[in-house]
Amino acid sequence: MINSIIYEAQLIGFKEGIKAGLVWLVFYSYLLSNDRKSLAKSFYTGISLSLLLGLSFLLFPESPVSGDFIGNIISMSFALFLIFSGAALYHASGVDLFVFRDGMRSEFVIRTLVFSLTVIFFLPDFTGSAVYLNELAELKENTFMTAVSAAAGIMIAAVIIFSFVRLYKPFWLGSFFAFPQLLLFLAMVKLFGSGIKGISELSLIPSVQRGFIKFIHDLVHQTFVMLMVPDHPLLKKTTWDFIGTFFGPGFASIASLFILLALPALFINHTLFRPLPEPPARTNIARRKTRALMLSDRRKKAVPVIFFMVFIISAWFSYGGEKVLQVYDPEPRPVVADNGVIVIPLKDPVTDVMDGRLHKFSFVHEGEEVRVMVIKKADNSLSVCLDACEICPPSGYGQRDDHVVCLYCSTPIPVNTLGRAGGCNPVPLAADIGDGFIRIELKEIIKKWGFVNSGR
Amino acid sequence: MNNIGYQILKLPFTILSSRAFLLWLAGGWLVYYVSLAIWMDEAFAFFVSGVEKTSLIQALFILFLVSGYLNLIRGIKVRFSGNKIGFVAWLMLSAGAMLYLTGFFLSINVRQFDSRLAGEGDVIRPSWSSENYRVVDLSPGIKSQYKKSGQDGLLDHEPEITLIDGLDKAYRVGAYPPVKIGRTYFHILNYGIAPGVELFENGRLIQSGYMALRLLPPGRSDYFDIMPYPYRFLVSLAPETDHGGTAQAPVFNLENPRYSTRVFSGEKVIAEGDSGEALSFDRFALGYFRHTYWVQLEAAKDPGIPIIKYGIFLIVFGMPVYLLRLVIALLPFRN
Repeated sequence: MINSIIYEAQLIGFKEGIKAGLVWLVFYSYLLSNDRKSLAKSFYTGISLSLLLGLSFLLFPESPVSGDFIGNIISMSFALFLIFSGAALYHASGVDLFVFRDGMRSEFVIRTLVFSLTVIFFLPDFTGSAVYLNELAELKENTFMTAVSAAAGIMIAAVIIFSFVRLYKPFWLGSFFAFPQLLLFLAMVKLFGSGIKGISELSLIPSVQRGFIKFIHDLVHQTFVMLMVPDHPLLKKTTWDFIGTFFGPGFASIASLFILLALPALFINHTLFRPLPEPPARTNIARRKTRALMLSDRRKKAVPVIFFMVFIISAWFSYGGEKVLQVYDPEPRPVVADNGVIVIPLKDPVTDVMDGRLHKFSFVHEGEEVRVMVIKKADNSLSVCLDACEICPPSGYGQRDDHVVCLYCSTPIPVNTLGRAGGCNPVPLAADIGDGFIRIELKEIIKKWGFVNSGR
Repeated sequence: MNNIGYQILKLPFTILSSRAFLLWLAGGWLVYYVSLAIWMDEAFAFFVSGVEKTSLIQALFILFLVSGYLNLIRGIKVRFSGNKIGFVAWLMLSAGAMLYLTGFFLSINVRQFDSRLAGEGDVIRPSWSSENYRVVDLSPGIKSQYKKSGQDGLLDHEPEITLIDGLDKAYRVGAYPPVKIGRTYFHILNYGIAPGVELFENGRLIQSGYMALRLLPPGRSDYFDIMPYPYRFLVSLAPETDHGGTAQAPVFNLENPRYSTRVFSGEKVIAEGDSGEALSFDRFALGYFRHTYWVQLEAAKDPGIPIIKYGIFLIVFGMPVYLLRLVIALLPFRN
């Protein structure tokens, strides 16, 4: 039995269990320190419903929704918790964001809010893990053991959390959290533990990094266009190299980190630097005591935020160095033309072009190496392009997850958009795909390669 | 009665200048952009297109800008009496961000631009302008020799042209920064060689002129047609020396370039050779004479450009001051 344990499933179960346990611990501590223990029921109802709905996806042999779709929902829920935490912070610091606040304070509304937030938090994650476990079960051809392994992982997490709570009774944790910090904590749990690609991507950080890097790149590009900075072929290499730093993944990564840290920094600013309100006390001693208590409370509430910032920075650079900034640039495989046609097999003993990775092929024409790239898109169609665009010198492209990246100017292009001509997109090629082969007319390749960097 | 009228008049300003309204708008923009980024592949392009074409998004953007400026004014009143360094840092950052966003909106919505190829002697007039400008000098900045080693740059200096207006006032226009002449910004967007081409029929010159081709950097090819003849001419630069198949990088003479030409009739190559030889086909012959240069000149009328520049300037200088202020506030000797 032990030999049959599927460790990947166990890890997924463990991850979900730890996440749920941590969220329960912090939320329950928060309720205790605010004397609102009665709200725990709404939390339990929400988490139970999410678990049931999530587990129901295990019953479908084929998931009715794709992993990508659920991944998007998880990313959306992370973003919402992050934005909610910012809104709650401003509201708590005196900006009256919610006009109907008296109505919102009714018990029913608060219970509904807790229930809804719990479902929004847990349902996408549980569903994502269930869909992943389903795929794993199909791969391992053992549904029963996959489910048992996942359940074992959840049990291990439950035992750890239970033992920790029994031993240390850490309910003092609640005093470190006000409502905005609680929401920020939920967003951070999502950020660090909501990846749905199994052990290959446990956290959301790589996809958040990709999104930010793309945003920064596009913003820099748009700004350059508006300021009439010319395209790179026109500038001297040193000038372009300088400008190129703003397009590079290093700059984008640091700028993205700044954006992500902006909200926690705002928390620090609000908790540590804002002047304390004048306490309503009769004597100076009482006033000083109250001020000291308020100050201590504020400092306490800054502690988890500082922790989050340290976690984000360390995780950002550990992922940034190894994964997100890494570009996969395969060696081109030589091909030859047969009767004016380049023929590439879809699958041979060495390569499977449908494996989702970037594949490059090359041949020599009139002394110049001409490169073609092939990659599978999310809809399972193949994109066949030149390994060059119309603007840059033909340095080619590398793959960074679901983007190809121009090796010259670092422009990231989503794989799903390949096939569109113009700009920094790879030049698309007309190809005949069928009978296990990709066939491309040599003259089509030569004609388009000739126009690379010519702007046509 | 007057008081009620005043209150009604004041209400929109009260709402627009409230932090709560600005934060709701900012939150709305965040949710909107994040949704685009998660569900669409090209979120930024979609966002820019929305700001350019969708009235609702434009209206919300304008509301956001108005609310931002009113909040800025309110913030200046509140913060002016406080810590001066903190005030200056906050003001630079906030004003910089607002200016950048204003320039961004203006540039996307009101920019007019024109782009055309020009050579020495050409007259340029942007479509919105009544002023003519003549290109009196063109300095392409191209090296006289280029070694195709992959690392060698093509330019000695960035290309420049001299324009003169109707009053013979001269303006040097390069690649960057764009030069403002009147209300129009000019800069060079691309450049290249225009070979002089002659077509002979039975030995008699029938057509002659310059062909602005994109042959740079060497290795690229471009084509031209000569109407009404059914031929297409595919041209690339030929290397200076033939290394006989050795691994040396080819060297191109860009002062007196040689052209490698293929003549197509439909899909069929009917003649090929380089400019050192006579290239004859059917009853025609193609010859080359001394080349000239061309530039692609972009002109834009855009009130957003200086606003974006000031915005970026304030952000770039305000950000370190702001961060420095935070660091100073964290220092242990401060009470």
